[in-house]
Amino acid sequence: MSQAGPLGPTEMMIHLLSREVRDKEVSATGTLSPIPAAACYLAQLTHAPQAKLAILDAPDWPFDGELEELFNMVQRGRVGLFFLSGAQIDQEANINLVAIGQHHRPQVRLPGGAGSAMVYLHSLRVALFLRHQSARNLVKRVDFVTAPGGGPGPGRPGGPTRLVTDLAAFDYRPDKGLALTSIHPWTTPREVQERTGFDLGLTGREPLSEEPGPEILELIHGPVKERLARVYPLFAEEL
Amino acid sequence: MPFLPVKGFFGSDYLRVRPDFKTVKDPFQGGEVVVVPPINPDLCFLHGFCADQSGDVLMDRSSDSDLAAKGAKLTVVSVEERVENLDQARGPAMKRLSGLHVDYLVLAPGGAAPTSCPERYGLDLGYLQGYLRAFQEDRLEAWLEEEMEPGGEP
Repeated sequence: MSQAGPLGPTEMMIHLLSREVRDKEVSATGTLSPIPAAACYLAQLTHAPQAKLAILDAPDWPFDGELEELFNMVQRGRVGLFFLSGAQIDQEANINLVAIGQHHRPQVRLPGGAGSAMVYLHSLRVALFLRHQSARNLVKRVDFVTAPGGGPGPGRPGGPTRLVTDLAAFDYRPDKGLALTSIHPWTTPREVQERTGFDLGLTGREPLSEEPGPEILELIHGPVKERLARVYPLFAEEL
Repeated sequence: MPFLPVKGFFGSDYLRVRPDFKTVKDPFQGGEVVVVPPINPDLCFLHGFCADQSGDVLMDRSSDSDLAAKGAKLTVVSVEERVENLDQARGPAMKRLSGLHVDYLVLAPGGAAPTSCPERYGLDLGYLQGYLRAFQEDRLEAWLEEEMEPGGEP
């Protein structure tokens, strides 16, 4: 047990996001995605040993160039899972990576969509993540829709499946948008609501998120951390 | 290519704020497709590993920055060193950018600092944090003056 290491928001997010990875399918992460990268590595060590990974900036990145080939694969419907986040994510699972405030007079100009306006629509599934959930970044309506939420339909094979944050997990339902499914053990429904910009419709019976067992924590703080250090050394140091 | 059809974008606000992103009928599969105009930067700065007499450059293979060099009106490339034989200098993680795309070549060892140059030097995290702190503490002007002093480091 002492080998397992601590369970905090990072470990919980890695654990829950790893469940989205499927065996034999291509799962991919973009820029600034250490938690999804760790989730992919964990999945390969648990339920998805033959998952095919494209972790941007990793030494075993499977393509010659940067993102072009991966983006082509996404457009052909060959990428099962992509991980996206946003400076804002809203109830409809729209994401914003462009600007806070008005587009032409932003309070904050963000780095930009980086392909998400295509990736979100053409990956078979998208898992969303948010490391520091607050009422400022989990909002009722994003200031700018960089890429829209939504379910499968004409021109879209899939869509968002879940949002995992440092406080809670949400399922995406095409009719309802993001619906709270569980809260992490260190928070309360009330705090999750306070750190959400839209009404969660709390019942007071929100279940706790399933915790990773000691063997999972051991993997996270052992081989996953080691492999992650080759892509995100500073992040892995903190793990 | 006169312009490029791109997948996705429907349902995003790009189509609202970017009048230069247009939709046309897909002549092959039907339906609408977004088309975007070419980007031709006035100026491209690119840092490579080395260059030879002809102006050919070896750069990071994983970088797509050569697209900017090929599309820009004026391309300035800085390199760590000058070499006689580019083929001998070429490592597995490098690709060649033809000198025909290069208007000016600058010998600038350490030219990518404080960011990294793969295999040569890493990110100068302390320096970048200093910049960030100066910005957060609202003394960027003074910091810049200090750092940009002629002959100063780096």
